[in-house]
Amino acid sequence: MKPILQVRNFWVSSGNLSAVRGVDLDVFPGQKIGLVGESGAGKSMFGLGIMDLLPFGWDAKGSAILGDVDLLALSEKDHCEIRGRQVAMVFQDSLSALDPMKRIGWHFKRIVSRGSADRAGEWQDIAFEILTDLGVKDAGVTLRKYPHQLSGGQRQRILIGMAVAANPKLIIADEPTTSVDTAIQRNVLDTLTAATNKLGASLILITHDLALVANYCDTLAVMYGGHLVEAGSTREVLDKSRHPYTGALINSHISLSRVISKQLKTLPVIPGMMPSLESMPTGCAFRLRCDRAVVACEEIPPLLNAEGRSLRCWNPK
Amino acid sequence: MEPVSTTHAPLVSCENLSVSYRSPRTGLLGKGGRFLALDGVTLRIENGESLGIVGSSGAGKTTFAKVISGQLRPSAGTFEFKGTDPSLSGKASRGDFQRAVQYVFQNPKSSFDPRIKIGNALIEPLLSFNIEGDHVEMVMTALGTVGLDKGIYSRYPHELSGGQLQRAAIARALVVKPRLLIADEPASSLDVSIRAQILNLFRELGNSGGLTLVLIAHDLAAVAYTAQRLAVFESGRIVESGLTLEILKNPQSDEAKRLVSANLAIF
Repeated sequence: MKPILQVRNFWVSSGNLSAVRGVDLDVFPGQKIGLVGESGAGKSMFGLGIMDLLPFGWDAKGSAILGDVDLLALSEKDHCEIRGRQVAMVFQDSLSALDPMKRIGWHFKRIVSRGSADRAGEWQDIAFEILTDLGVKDAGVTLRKYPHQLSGGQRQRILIGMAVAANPKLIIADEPTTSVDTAIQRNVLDTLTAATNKLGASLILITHDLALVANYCDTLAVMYGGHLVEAGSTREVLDKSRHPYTGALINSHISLSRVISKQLKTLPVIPGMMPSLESMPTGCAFRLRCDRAVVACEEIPPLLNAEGRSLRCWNPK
Repeated sequence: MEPVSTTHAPLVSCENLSVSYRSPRTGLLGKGGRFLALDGVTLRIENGESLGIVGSSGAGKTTFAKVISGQLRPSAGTFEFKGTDPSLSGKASRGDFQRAVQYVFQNPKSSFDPRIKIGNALIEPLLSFNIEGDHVEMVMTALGTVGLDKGIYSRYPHELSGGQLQRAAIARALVVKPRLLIADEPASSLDVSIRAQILNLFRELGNSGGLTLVLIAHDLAAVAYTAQRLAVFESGRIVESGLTLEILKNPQSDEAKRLVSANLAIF
């Protein structure tokens, strides 16, 4: 099968600082990738880089081939044709992603008419159908409301609706549930994955919560210090992680079952902290916190692919 | 008959606590109603125990914490700390109450003044409560308790990571030797690996005996890991309370069942 998005040697840098350092990733049709990492790992910058929405002063290098178009080689005008239509984004903060002065309907009208001019007249029907599908009650009333009149969970559902409105091939969701409650979080993700399935689109879910990936994604990709350090099928990576950082992340996750079974005496912690971009160590970004570090780690390990697993480590488990 | 001995009084005792706010008018001529943030909450917190408070947003968790820390007066019902209502007592004992109850906020970045060094920020409560002794020494001890390096003393908040800053906030609460420490979502704004450090710290503090802990979170697993007893809030009421493990194994109320089932496992 041919990937719909093929990312090769992807860098996001500003001057001599790099937030994303040489990421390779294939996104296949219908695949759901959970991209995890702590703040500063570069996962959001990766998403913004693909969308060409990087903050001022940051540039993406490498290649990101969607279909047969290299997204990085496109002019801003050509990228506008793709952004929102072929690749859509669900942002974290639903309040700032919507225009507070405009009704929900206005947002849909713009997206639908941008998606295809001949459907512009039917935007109300399209928006109504999408929102009803997403489980929004009284979709007609909701379309006439302003963003502040909706709850966080409802707004997040609106953002998902806006993302699917133009039938994209790929949806990038950047921490879509960090600002909502645990129970609503499940609901939002059920909605997001159902909508993605219905479209037959692929999903990149950027999150720091391993439990979400374990339950909603078929592929787990772990980033650290701008590198993609490990990627593979979610189940396999969780059951048998090979990169020490992935293992440490899994160990420091508290789950209810571990608490109940009293297996958990003290939660294992990862010593130290994620290095800032200015103080990134040479070689493997994790080596100063790693208990398996060897001399070779002073050089950046190559990203190797074997048996469906990508791994960037000199001394894996 | 002997009167009930006051030495066995709970540290915090709430009877039928209610807090209501005015809700906004529904229209130009509409009338605003009353919104009950807390609706008849009765709860005792014993000396030295660690209590977890869970519930979805809007359930009244933070309102309850504000009442027992004296930031908010209840509209009805009684709140007693060590057998007396601090709002009715004199200025001196109100000062004692304020010192005895300390609060850790969710976001450490906004609870520190960016222009004040950590050491000075930690000395401030010692000054405002007129506590005598070697302040620098006391701050150093508190920093040690939360596992921070002494060099943090002369650093500014922006020089610290989120986890270090949250630990400094906990040290600032501990430096005045409180009886009750209330933490409102202390780990939810932190990264996974740092969250573990903070939760471990709370677990140690809770097990050390002298300190009573109230931990508020919407993440059930985090609370269950730290607190022996649990109170489940829903729409301003306590719908279930008891030993954490009992509730997790066998939740009775719908809200507790919902919270247990909403928790996603990775294995």
